[in-house]
Amino acid sequence: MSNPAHPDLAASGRVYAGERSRLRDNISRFVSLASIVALLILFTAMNPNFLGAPNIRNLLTDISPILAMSCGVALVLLLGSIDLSMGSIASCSAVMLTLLFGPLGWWAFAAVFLFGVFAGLLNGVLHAKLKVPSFIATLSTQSIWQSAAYIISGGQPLTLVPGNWGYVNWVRAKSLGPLPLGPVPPLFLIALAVMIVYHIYQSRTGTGKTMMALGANERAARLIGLGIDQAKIVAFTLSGIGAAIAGVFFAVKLKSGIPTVGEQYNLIAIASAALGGVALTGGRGHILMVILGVGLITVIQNGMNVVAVDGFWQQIVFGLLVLAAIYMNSDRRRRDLVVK
Amino acid sequence: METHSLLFSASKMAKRYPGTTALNAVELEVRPGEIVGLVGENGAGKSTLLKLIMGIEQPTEGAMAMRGEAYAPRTPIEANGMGVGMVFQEQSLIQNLTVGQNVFFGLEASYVRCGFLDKRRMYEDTRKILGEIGIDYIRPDKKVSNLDFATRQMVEIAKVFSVVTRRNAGGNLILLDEPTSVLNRSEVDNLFDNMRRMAAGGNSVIFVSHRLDEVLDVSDRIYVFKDGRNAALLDRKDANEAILYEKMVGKTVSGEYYKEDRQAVPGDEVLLEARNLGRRGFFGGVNLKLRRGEVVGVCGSIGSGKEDLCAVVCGDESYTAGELVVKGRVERFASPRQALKAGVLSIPKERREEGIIAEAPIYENIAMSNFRAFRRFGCVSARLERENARRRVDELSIRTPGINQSVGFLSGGNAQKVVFARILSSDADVLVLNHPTRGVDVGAKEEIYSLIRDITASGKGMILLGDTLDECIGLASRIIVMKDGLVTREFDAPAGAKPEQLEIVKYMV
Repeated sequence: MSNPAHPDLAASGRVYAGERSRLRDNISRFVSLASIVALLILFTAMNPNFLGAPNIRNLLTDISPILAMSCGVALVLLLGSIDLSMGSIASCSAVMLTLLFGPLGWWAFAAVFLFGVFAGLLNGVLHAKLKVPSFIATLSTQSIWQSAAYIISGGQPLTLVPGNWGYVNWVRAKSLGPLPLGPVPPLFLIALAVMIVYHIYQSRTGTGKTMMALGANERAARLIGLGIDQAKIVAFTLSGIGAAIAGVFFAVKLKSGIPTVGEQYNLIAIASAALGGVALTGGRGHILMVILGVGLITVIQNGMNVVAVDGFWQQIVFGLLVLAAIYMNSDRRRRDLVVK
Repeated sequence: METHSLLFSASKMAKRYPGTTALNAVELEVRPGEIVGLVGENGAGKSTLLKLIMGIEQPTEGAMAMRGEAYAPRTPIEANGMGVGMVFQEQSLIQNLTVGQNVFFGLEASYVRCGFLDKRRMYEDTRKILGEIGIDYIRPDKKVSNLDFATRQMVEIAKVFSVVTRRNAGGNLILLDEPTSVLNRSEVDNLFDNMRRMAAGGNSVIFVSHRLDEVLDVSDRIYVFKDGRNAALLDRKDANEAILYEKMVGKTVSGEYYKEDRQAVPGDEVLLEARNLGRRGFFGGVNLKLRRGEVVGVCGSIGSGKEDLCAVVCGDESYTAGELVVKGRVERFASPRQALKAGVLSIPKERREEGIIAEAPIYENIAMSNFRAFRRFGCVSARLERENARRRVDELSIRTPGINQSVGFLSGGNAQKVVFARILSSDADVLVLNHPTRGVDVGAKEEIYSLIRDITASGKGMILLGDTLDECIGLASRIIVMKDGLVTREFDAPAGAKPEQLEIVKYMV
């Protein structure tokens, strides 16, 4: 019988995807930015201390780990894939860093970085080479690294012994050499640097551009002669590095390695990227815009604390917000709303 | 029932897409109880016309009438309601349901008893329907996935037939788009018997096929389409294969059209060589040499293995027998990327799905097969990409408001030129062109032919799967003909001494 979902129909509907999606990108950027401004005004009106220097420092400190994670996961989302293991990679990194200061000193940072590379590489190879769907691959590694974090820490939060505080005191630095930082914490500067490096990598290298192309049309990207597998592996690796950096942030900020510290941040990072205009179906988004999504989410979370919204209600507001964000960004003309 | 001298008529039908005209001033008339054959080359407009009749797409111009009344369906379901049904080229049965469930798919409501589906009654009715068109050997409770292709095709026809006859007792129109491509001879005969039986019951059939002998066998009248227009209308008694073929391809197109005078004389250096190349289950024993400046045309019907040969050469599939030698080195490509590194790049058949990134701007698409060439300080420089794109857009006269435009906006011809621009910007010198003028209008076709001549003149070699046989002969300097996975014949096709189409067709079928 006549099949309404005839392939030619779908093809003709997709021809003009370009213009609408560009419009949608702009709308989501505008909405994110406008909502941040509106919320800043609202929270300041409710509590004038909201925009005081101490709280700005808080805000920017909160933004930092989420930003590092979001930029990493944004690359994976551009592929049309997903990374669910970031939270536990971050937890594991935090625990490892706390323990490694003893034997390794400053090299502990490098060791944790390498761990991030390894964990991300593992996800990438599982997905690109062994063809495991990223959802399954990263769900599995998430569980592995979560357990690893518990085992390494003995299931307890580890506190950094005062003898090792020397390695983390820079977190509270108020100036960079002669340059005063004001309310800007050093962690935020690092996160910003991560974002810029990721952005340049994504938009200015062949592998980075391949990520975007393959998210938009994998079949074409393959036949064009682009390195599909390489782009996938690199994206997951950068996501792992972003997660490890976030883990380091948690550890140095709290002076402790908590084995569950990253848990809730995985979905927050994905939601932030989506709020920043990265399509969960892949092939559309801009790394620099991710900061808007992260900013919006952090302002809401922090603001609800400052104006003393009940903790349980906060989760409801947060959930609704994420739904609204994804709704605005989802491409409803495409039928394949499936995570690769 | 009221009778009309015509069951269905379409007049001055036109369908234009941005940048290309698929159908222009086409007329079609179908009498009650008649089987009408529809033939034409790829892109002649047969499928487009069927889509308009089925309401899948809307005509740009023209009017249709069914049983004397104005007929303008907006959806296939509406068309079904008016007594028009179509069997698609692709099988549209749901594989994990039974025959009966498929036949009554979407109509289960009339078989509900006490809130449950009365399968027994549904299967009884299915048996009746299958019996009506003479295929009662199929069990209604069998899963479609357990049936062979031919039987599925018959079920599909039964299903369409039941849908259109449900509301209209007689005088329905059934469209069959290439129904015989998966059937063997006795199944085809069976299908034709069924078609004749439907026609005897006052229904009419429009039958589209590439196999001219079948069209001649079963049709009462035959419409020939060419380039989106009516080329001829013949009664069966006046037609034979040679006449139909001539009408389909028109007068033998002059060598000028294909820029034959600019056909390069092949050099000596062998760019690519296939030695006894094979892929199990698809093709085997292919020997082929491609020299600099040469265009090797590969001819064959669907399923001849030419597409698979193409896929192997450009690294999309791997081979299982023989050797593929590129510039003196035995290669075994694991991906198109490796092929590209060895200098082999393809222009794929499905442009929108395989050849371009529709969302990306023109300048990026052009740079994509060779990011390395646009690097500065270790990064891909958008400025270099743009400079190159601007040059290529001028060179190939790509009509676009700007190089930042998404390729998805361009017409078929211009999008294809972007693909050519990408290939020219790469280092590849073995090009695999798979239907390079598919869905491209006539003007752009000529420009592409001229481009192909330029590219070969610069010393690159090409393997060409022509969109039409004529095109393949016109462009190629050598032609290999494939049938059932084997090379049946090789022809030399120097400028001015091209082989005849019928000569080649003999080795294709």
